[in-house]
Amino acid sequence: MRELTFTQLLQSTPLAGADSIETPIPKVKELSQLSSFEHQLVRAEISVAHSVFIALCITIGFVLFSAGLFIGPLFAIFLGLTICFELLFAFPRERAFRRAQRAARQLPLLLETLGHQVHAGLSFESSLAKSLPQIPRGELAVLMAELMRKIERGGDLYQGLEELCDRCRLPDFRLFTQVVKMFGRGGRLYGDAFVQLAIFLRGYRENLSQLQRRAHVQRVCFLLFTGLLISGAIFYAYMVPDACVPVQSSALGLVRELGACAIIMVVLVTMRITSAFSFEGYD
Amino acid sequence: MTNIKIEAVLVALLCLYLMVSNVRRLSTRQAELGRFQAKKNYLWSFFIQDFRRYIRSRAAVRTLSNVQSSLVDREVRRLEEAGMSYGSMRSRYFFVREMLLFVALLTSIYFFATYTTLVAAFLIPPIVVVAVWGPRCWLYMRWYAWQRRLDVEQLFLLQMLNVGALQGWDTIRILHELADVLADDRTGSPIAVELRRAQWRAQMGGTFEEGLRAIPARVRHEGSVRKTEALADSLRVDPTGGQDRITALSREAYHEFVVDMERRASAVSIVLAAAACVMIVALASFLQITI
Repeated sequence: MRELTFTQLLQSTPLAGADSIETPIPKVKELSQLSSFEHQLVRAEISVAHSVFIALCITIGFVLFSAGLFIGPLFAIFLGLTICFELLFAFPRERAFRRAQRAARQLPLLLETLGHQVHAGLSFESSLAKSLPQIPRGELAVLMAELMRKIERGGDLYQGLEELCDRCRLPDFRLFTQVVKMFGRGGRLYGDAFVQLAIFLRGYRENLSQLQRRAHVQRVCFLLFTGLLISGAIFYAYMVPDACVPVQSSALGLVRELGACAIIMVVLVTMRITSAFSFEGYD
Repeated sequence: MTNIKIEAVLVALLCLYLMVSNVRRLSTRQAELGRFQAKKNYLWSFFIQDFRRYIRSRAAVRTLSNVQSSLVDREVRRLEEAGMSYGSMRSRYFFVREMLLFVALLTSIYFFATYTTLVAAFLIPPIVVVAVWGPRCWLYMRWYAWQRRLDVEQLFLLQMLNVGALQGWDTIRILHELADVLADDRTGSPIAVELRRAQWRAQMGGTFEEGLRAIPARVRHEGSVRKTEALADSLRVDPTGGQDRITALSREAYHEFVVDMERRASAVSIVLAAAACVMIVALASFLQITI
């Protein structure tokens, strides 16, 4: 379906007697009107309805609960609940953060192009429209195209930028918005400011990416080590059955279940802590 | 007979728990709202103790200088420092904490009634530790993230001041403009909160510098404190900022940031090594391997 600009939309809408006509325009919720969970899904670009997503997570949790029953009921409950909550809350947050990070990596290029256009005397909106085809396809291009669409439909630029900040909760976007708002208000040319900002952000992101890559490699090594350890121990237990104490009492069974819970807990908590160390404190 | 005993103990413990937790919740609410709101006057003795604690916690929140001995006070303070200064977040936190304690209590009683004392003595402590320290660890993570965000955003603030100075703007003017711009913030940015507080101080007859000097009282991150103090010093020397000084400040902050990142990258390896050790123990208990 062809998209209409704001002026075309106004022309195509019958204004006379508009009060008596029931409006056919579908109601689209603004970001601020969404519940925090829906908002998180939008930020993570998970396009299914939130009820479907919740149902999906619960189903996966239930399947894992059933699988966990082979080890014990306590472990099954723990596994089902943990994975269900991880999928419901941690997964969208992490996905949104990764997406914002990818967009932030492309931001310096956009800023440089914008800076040159603004310096040449174009307005911010026209510069943005001209710069969009010059940035590579990706998250940033999608976000900026959305911003442009909003402006074309008569939306407020500053409000659009605030929404952008809300979607990508990284300091890069906040700084970008601040520069546009501050120097835009003063009516000054802010081309130089964009270029200086681009230089700073490029250095910042490169440094951060290097360190995060190193932390990422360490985390992958840890996961591989865990996998090898678990498979090695199970192999050992099957090869040398005398080495393992057979479960005779319910207490020993419980210790076994708690051990299994602890394995999952250690992996999850370690991943959380290491991501808190290596990320920027956002989400 | 045994069943009746267990049920009686269960009910008695439940009642005791509800009474104590209710009193604790009241004291927390008093500390939050800053006024004596309790309307029910049961458990007077508990209440008077709580009133003393309430006064202590109010003093702690007001001066934000010395850490109080009470754990509730410390948590309220940490909540404040983690950016959860509004009521609903705090109440939710305390509600979840109370519920976890309640579940841990019931589970402990169940284990105590089902298994022998020796087995229960091994099983109950980890559950209690998780219930008591789990929420606190979560709070600590939030607090750490908030402080970290503030540090990063201060780095960006200095960069913004640098950009402004290169455009020929006064530092104080940029700070005021930034505080205005950040008034629309919906993301809960720490620097937005701090700048608005500083601006409020300036509008109430003080100076922006005084507002900036109040930030370190709420901040535990060394780099963040240093940056704030350097900026405040710079404002005292020259309210217009001075381009060279601001540029030097932002460069120094960036260097500090890189060093800090290196340090945290090595902390990741330590955490992973510790986790690997715990993993081995957990696996041994799962497979019940005899060594």
